[in-house]
Amino acid sequence: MNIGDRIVAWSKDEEIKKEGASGGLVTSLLTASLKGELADEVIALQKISEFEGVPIRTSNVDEVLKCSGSLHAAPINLTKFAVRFFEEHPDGALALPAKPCDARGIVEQAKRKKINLEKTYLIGLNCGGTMPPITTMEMLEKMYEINPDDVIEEEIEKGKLIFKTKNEKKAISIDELEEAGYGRRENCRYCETNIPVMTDVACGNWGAGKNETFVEIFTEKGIKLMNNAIELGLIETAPATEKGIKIREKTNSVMEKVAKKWHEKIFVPIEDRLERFHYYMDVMEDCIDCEACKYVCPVCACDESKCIDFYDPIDSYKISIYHLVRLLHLSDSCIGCGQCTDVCPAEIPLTILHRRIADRIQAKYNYVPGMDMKIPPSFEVE
Amino acid sequence: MEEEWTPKITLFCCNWCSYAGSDDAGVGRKQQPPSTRTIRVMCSGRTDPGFVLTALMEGSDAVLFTGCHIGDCHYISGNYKAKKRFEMLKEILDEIGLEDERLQLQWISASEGSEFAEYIRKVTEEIKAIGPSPLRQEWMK
Amino acid sequence: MEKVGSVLVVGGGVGGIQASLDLADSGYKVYLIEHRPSIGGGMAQLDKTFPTCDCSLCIESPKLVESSRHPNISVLGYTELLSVDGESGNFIAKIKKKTRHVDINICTGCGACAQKCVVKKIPSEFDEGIGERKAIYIPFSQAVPNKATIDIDHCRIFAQNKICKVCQKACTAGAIDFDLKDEYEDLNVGAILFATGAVPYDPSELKQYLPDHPDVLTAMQYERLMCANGPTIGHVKRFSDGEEPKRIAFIQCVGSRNPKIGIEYCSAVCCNYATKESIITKEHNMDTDISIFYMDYRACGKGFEEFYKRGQDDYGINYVRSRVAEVYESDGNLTIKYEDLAEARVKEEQFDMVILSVGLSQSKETQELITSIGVDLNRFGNVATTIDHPVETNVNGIFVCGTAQGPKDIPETVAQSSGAAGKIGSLLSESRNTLTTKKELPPEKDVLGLEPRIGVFVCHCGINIGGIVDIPGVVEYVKTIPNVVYATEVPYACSDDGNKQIFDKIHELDLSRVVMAACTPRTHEPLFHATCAEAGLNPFLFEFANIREHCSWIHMNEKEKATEKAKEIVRMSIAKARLLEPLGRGEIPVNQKALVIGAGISGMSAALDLAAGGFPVYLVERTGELGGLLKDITSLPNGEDPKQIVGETIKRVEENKLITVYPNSEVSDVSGSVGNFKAKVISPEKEEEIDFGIAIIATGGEAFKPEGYYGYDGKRVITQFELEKIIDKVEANTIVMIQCVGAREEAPRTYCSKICCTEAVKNAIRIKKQKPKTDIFILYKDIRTYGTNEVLYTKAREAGVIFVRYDDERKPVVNEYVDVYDEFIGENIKIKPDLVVLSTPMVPNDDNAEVGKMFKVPLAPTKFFFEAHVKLRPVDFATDGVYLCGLAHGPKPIDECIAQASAAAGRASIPLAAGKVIAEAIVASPDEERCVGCAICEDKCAYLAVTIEDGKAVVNKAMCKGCGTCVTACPTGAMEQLHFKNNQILAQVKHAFAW
Repeated sequence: MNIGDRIVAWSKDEEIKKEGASGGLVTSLLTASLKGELADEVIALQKISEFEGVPIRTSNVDEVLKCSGSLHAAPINLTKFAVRFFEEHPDGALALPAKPCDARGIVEQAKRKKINLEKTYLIGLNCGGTMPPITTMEMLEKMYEINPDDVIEEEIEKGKLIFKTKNEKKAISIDELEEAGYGRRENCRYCETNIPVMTDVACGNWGAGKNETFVEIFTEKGIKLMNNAIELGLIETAPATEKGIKIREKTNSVMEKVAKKWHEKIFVPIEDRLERFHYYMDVMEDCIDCEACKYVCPVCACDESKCIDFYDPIDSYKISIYHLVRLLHLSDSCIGCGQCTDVCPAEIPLTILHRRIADRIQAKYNYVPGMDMKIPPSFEVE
Repeated sequence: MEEEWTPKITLFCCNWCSYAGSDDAGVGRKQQPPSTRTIRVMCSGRTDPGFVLTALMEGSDAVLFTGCHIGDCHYISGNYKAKKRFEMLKEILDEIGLEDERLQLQWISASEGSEFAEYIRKVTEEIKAIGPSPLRQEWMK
Repeated sequence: MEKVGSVLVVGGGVGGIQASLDLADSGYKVYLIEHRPSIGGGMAQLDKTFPTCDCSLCIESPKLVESSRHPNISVLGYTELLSVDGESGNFIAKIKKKTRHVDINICTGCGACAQKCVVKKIPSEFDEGIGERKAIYIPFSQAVPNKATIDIDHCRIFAQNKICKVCQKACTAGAIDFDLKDEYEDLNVGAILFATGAVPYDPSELKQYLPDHPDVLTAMQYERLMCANGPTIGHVKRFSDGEEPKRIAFIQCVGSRNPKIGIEYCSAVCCNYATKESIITKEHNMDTDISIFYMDYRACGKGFEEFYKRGQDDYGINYVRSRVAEVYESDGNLTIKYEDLAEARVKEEQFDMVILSVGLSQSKETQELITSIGVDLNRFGNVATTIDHPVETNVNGIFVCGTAQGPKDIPETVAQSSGAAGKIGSLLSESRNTLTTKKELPPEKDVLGLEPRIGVFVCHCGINIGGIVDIPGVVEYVKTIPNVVYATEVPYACSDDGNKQIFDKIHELDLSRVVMAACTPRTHEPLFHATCAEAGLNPFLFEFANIREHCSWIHMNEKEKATEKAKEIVRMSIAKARLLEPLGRGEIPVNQKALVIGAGISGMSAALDLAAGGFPVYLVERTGELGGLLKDITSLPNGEDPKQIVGETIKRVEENKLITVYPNSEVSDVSGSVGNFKAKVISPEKEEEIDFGIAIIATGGEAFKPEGYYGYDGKRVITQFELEKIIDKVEANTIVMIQCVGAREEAPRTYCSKICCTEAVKNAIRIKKQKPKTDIFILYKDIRTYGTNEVLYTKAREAGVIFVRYDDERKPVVNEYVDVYDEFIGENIKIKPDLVVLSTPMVPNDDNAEVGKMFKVPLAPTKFFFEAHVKLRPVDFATDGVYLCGLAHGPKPIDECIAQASAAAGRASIPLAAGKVIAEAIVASPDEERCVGCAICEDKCAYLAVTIEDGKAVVNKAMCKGCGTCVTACPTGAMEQLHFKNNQILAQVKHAFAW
């Protein structure tokens, strides 16, 4: 196996193959990394319901097996869980499944020495977007006329979002859903990174047959990850078909195009300076200084930090200095993962604010965070 | 209000060049409008964007980054880093709707008292022309 | 015989003070004696200094205070030297401490005695006779030592044999004792330095200028009249009627350039001080009409020509080229009769006041003292020296500096002082540190965790601040600010008295923070830091508020707004002071090797002085030869042989085992800082890494090549410098020399090159001597043979050299003929020269910018190096451990280069001899708890002082320079810059404006 190889793979364990999505490859790779002692722990998303997943860190193979299956409506970023692992085990090794935004967060943290990328096995997941749980439940009731509690499985296929209950299977095109204000989270709609090329291996169903996963190998670690699972007899592989490769590329480019359209639609420039000023003042005024956005932010490496230090409630400024400092600090490293918007109790569209600024800075310095270990402009050294 | 409005300008000076240049302006009795309040830092590289943001939130009509000329930094390259931070900050302030004039950067050497005074006069006029900071107006509400 | 590690400095002017400080800092015990009651000299009497118009006492006062509190300097005021015995290394100096009839150990300097004294109206010496004092007095409020003195010539007890004792009653301290006698003491010292200075020429014999008229003042009297601590508190008025003069005339060269009264030399400072006094007068009242009557305007010094230009262009001072014949009184006004040389006719003009720009002369008493010790004077009555030994007298172990050696300005005096101190340091190096003591400071009071108790001192600085800012108003406002437990106004905070007040209040009120609202921290902070430390308060609990340079001086016409601003500035400082924390300072070991860049006469002299002090020197020279420009000079103005000077110096350098010479080499890749530099020395053959503790930049300069000026071709039209090389072979019947070619023009050569006039006159005399029939014309703007070089000018005229003045409007035209307007005959004259010699200025080295960058030192607009302070730190840079001398600093003659070289070596010897410097206290300091180990700081540090160890940032305090760049970069706020912490600066930001 070589870097750049594109293959299809699946679990040899029938149980995993059945429970896991697309042939259960990711679950197999995670278990193999524990069994083969590549990693001391793995992170996986434990399914509470179709709309709720809890990341767990474990070295127990059985726990991992319980986590199999895809979960589009549990949009949690795993970066900080990986950070915690390295805080506890500075010399440890970790494996985890990583959507592009997980992987980018992890790369950014690696630059800040919070994660040892050498010892992190990133099993990349191709991603067309995730969905906000509450809105999705509402969508199920309104658009699908399904009781959310009845859902047993969901998947995305050919631009359609499919929900299954015991009795039925309903598919509606994502475009239609999103026009109606449902569907993917806003930041996912304009996210142009669908295949996580910064991981060790990128896995997905695009271009793969039924019950198999299309895999692209990016690194030596990726080769090791695959070989380890093969040697343990946990997976089987086959070369990807030409057709499959083409389908995958096509899907990716369609997704990118759609994302660009969404970007244009969401980020309408506010030409008038004063209007822009009032826009920011108005949205940020609602902040209640709970700091939840900072806590979840995958690229923020700080615990206590200047955004809090420089902020003093008795200043009673119209808007909190907290956000201004954060806007600056994240302007070079924001990856647009949407976590801040997700958690904001005041419903401030934080990701949009951050992206409005980050787009300018990142374009100015021709820097895209989280894609490689290239340092951000604010670290610049002569 | 009969009295002419004097803008409030927070001025960050590095110890070695711009603060000395400002002193030089004083020694030369180069008259300037009383618009500035100077905060001395050892190097322009110490000018934390957080200070700038705070100054603006406090109602400063403008904030000035000053330091040694590029290449003359007493600390090798602090001013270069200051410049980068300044540029990033500038993008942000523009994005949130503050006028270009409200954040400025000027290199002043220790012997440039006249230039310093001239610059303060110029900036003060520029700020007078655009009026009080919208942030300050927000603050006053 | 063992040498004695102590030095006697005679004369407490700025020169003596500077030398004392340098000597004491480099490990010698110093006795600084001054025959007047206070040290400070003439500089203390000045209102301002040229060309920066710095407040004179403001910049000198810290040095007065520093010398008085230095543990290794005994300041003995009112003390005279009687005789000297012994030899170099071991002198016995007999001194007389004249009694003040006041016990100086008891006197507090409160001045109550003088207030009560009934003998009034005694002309004050400090005020040059235009002010008054009592029979018991303290000469000025910043006097050091600040002790009262009884003048027995006027005291009722001594002079009139009356029973008075009013002062004794007034003195609650009980310091006055009429029975005190003079004390005599023998001081055992290794060397003696005469810094006896000069006195203003007394014009009383020049009756044609009405010297006794109340409205005719000497320039020094006028200086006192303008000064805020002078008799009129700085109000310029006539003594005849108290009116403000509307028209003032300055008459130059009073007591200078006048063989009739036996003074042949030019006093070198008068032109510039006349411009200075005129500018200050104009600043008081722009409508005052000022004329300066001069013969040649001599702006010979760094920045002086530009200053002269400012006087003309910005202030409209009327410069009249003329020697004034007489001043007479008519209708209560003063009329000046003069010949207007520009129009060649006699004119008369009326003025309200006439200032005589008196020269510098020597007092008989000083001359007698000096000669009685065996030290030779020259024909001008100054201490005799030679060009290559400008600070050494004919007696081994006895040195001279400042105006005792000849007329000169303050920076030259300071350079000679540091130079003499350096020479003495080398002479006595075996006895360094044998007689010195270390100052013990009291334990520091604990302030951490306690509610701050802030004391605020608001300085009037005479009228510098108090004249604009409503200081009582500021004090009242300050008192309302939380944590301020004390606020007061002080007339001069920097005086001994001001410092004592701070000291006392720290004790009395248990102050834990001190805020000083005065001038710039850049000059005065060390002084107040020392005061705090002596009072047991960590110096870093002190904060400055600059309400002078940043307020009163720049808002002179907006008193109310200036006051508002001053309040806000003080409030900002208080806000910061509240959060200040005590800091400690470590010591950095100093590598005792030195680097000297440039092996011209300056660099070689500096290297030799350093080596004489026992320090190894790397001497790097860009060319293949030692000797620089001087090796191409064939004669010197005073007749000494330059070849011999240069040859001997080279020989001494080459023979000196401590000096390593690198010819054909350049310095690159300089890193490190004071005490621990590293660099590469690169020559075509090899590359060597060197390490050293200090560096002296002596890169020299070069003669300007006047391409495009007056048909310069290097053959018929050559430069003065080129003439120098071929002077013995010149075949010409007629020679025209043109002065100021490419100098005193547009930037960057705005300056006067100082040496070209002397150079031209010297060469003209030489040619005349060889071939008396040669016709030599010197076309000039001003003949600037300043100082004792004036005699050459006289000699040249006597030899028949023809001087023709031209101005910028009517420059000479050089073709086959030289065509120039001669104002003396009022028409153009044509000369057909065989040789045209252009006097071109010295220009800075083209690689100055590069060298400056390597060592982080700045250049002036002229591209010569820019020293730390134009007056008082002429050979230092603001960057520690880097010094400059010679032409790298600006154009100057050889003796001044050599004096500067010794000064640079002397200044550099201070850290070298100590073997350590005190480390920065203001460094970056990470909070381990908060640090997340992201390493952004590590990337930012230009000095590689920050590393990440075990996931936490660690700062190497010896390498950290305290810029704070890493602190700004730190996202978590774990990295802090001590004394400039985030919360401290934020507090300033938040208190900057009142709404």
